[in-house]
Amino acid sequence: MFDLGSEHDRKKLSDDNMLPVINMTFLLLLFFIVVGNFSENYMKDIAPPESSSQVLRQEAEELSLSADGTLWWRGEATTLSNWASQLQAEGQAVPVRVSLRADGQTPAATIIPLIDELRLLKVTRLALVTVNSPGQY
Amino acid sequence: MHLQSHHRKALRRISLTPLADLVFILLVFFILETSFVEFREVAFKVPDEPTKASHAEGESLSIQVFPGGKLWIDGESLALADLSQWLLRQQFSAETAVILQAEDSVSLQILVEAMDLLRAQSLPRVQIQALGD
Repeated sequence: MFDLGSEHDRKKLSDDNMLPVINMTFLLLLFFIVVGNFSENYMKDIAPPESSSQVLRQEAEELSLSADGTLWWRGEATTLSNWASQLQAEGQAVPVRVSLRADGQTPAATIIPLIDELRLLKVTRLALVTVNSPGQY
Repeated sequence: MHLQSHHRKALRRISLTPLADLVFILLVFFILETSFVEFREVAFKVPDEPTKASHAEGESLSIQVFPGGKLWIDGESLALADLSQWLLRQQFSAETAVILQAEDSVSLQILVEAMDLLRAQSLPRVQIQALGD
């Protein structure tokens, strides 16, 4: 009734046909693993301003500021004084260099008082996080 | 010999479909989770004391920034897009401290664009302060 030989051949043939698909998928997988960026980004609704400046250094402590003026750290709303005390509770000093991922539409009236508060916490360098201007690579 | 050949046949019978499924799932995960946005930074020194244009050491330039990218420099009204040309004409030294005095409603995007243009003209010493300080 069954021709086992030809059934087996058919199955072998169909698996062999899948090999290029699997190869291609592995290549795509490798591409996404190697080229993709897995940096932690808690605040996906913040749209940083565009610039053509240098690439972000990742080592700085990063604060986020939404357009409504709420400050975020590690995904939680906070204030600068809370942030400093939380760092101290973890046995860390307030870093001298801080990155601020602020929304491009944040008004100066929100940013400038924040810079003044950072100065009081002895932060000496502030890096505003930006994204590539269109057409800049 | 016989055993080896039997083993080979058994291996051949293992379907590749689950492997393909798994790889596709991994692929979808990586496509969804990875981001290709390259973040950049505009870094500047936080002033040691509340900044005042007149207190900047050495040569300094105050630029008043208004919403929509309107600038006011040395009694001259200027659009942000014309800042590069204006700076080229003035030929400031790289040591010049530039103070961006921003009106309250000026967006960060405008400030960053101004800082970008200043940096492109080799004026890296930029400070931001509120207009009217």
